[in-house]
Amino acid sequence: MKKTSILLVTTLVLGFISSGVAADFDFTDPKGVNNVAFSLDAPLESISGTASGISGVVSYNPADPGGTTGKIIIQAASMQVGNTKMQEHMHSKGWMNVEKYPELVFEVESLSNLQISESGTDALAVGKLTIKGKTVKIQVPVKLTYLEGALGKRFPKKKGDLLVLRSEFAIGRSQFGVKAGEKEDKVSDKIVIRLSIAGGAEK
Amino acid sequence: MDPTSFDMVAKTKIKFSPSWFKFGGVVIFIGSVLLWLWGGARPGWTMNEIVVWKVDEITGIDYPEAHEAFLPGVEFPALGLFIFFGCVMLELVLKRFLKK
Repeated sequence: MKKTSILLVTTLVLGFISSGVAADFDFTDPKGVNNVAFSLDAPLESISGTASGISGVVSYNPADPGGTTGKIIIQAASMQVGNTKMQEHMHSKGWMNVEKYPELVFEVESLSNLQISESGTDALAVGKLTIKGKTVKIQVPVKLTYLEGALGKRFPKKKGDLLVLRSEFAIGRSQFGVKAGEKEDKVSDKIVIRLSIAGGAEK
Repeated sequence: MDPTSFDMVAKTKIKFSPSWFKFGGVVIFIGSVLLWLWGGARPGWTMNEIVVWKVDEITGIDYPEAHEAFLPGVEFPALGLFIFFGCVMLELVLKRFLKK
């Protein structure tokens, strides 16, 4: 009986160690590398821009990537395009209304269709995207690359891991009530979004 | 220099012609098109910033680096064409006025 109990406890402890514990990766990037690129291709005009005001925390366990959850926040005012006037219009009340809706939020609830390879984990992230105060449930393809012990290479005084998150997907601005059905000849309804961000977890 | 050449310049009277406006309009239009072509003949509006993409060595992430720049857009040849037509109209009005 005693031997069985010891064996059971040992199995549980080993199982717990091997499964690991999820770490919280902070995606606030003082280096300004994290970015979201967006592009719209309308019949009369093509618009492309970037956003760099990114923060958020993702809970990731390399032994169980399927259990990844978290939230990525983008500051709406950090969205920029190459033309000052166009940028003012984009931030204005009629379009993104950045004063009233200062954040764009993507909340990851779970990962499915996991494909693990040497270069990382490809999956389908199921979550909620909130733009201009409207929340829509979406599924987007993501690629997660776990870089063990690489945090020190980025921030020499810190020890820990890095998690790189990449995703490319399209949304419709009409889904989020951004001038739905208006001016589609110049501002496409379809917006292609490319997310390239890295977060760090200190050990 | 021969002093007589100064006299010649002083005596030369340049006669005003309404056609100058058309000529000026053509020069402005060609100039605006050349400026647009110099900027890459882009179909969009004028840009005051360009983005250069770089790669972060550690994470492999592509990230944008913004630089101030001037890239003329389609409004330049459009404005040049508008000025050209304005000059042609002015020439026609002046011709009529001078005939009278």
